[in-house]
Amino acid sequence: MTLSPELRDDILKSIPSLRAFAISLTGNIDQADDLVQEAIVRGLSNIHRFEPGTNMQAWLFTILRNQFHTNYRKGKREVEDPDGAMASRLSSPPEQGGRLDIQDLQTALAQLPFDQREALLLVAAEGFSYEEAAQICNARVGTIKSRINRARTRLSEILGINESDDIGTDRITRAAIQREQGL
Amino acid sequence: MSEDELERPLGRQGNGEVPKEPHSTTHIQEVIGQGLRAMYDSLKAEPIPDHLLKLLQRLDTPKKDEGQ
Repeated sequence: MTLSPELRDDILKSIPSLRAFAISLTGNIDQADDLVQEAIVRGLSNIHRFEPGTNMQAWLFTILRNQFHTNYRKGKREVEDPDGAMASRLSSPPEQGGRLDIQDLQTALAQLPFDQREALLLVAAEGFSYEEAAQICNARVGTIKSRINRARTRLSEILGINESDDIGTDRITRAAIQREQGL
Repeated sequence: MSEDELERPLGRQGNGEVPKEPHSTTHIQEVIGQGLRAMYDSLKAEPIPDHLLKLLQRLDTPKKDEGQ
């Protein structure tokens, strides 16, 4: 089959987001790229089921997420500790103004249960709405919200973020505090 | 700072919902959200691997028997 240029572009544009999601979800670049490839192949072979005008990115995310859960349930691949290949690949820039260290964040993410991790990534990192995330995860909106809240609470515990944290000395956080105080 | 800015939701839910959590939770939300987006930006900036591009390029060659 030949793909229409529009659909092809939509798929192409989704790839960086799909990869970012897959890498963050699995903590492993190779596994993530396999997942993205599987999702695209599946998407292409089911492209007749895609409803034109709907969100291609959300559709592909759903396929990738389902694929991930299928692989994981089958024990097809172990999800590896992101401390290794992942962390070294990320090459985060030097700390600027006390922002969260990306590697610390990735390591902390790996400690979250999958359902919390995927919900948090979809909404807080990718910018999907709660409703879209609920569709992608085949869960209720309230369930997604509660998973995200628990994920944030757990991450803040692991990373030691609280209101009077050291991180609070940087410009952005000072601005946030000032906003809280109505300054 | 305007009232409007104070009311602005800090998470990017994109649905205009204003979180009802206490301020400390909102602060945590902002720090984590910022970190996650920074992580995503660096991941998205990576070049798309060749094998994924080739996958799509294979579909670019129109078949001769198709009129389009």
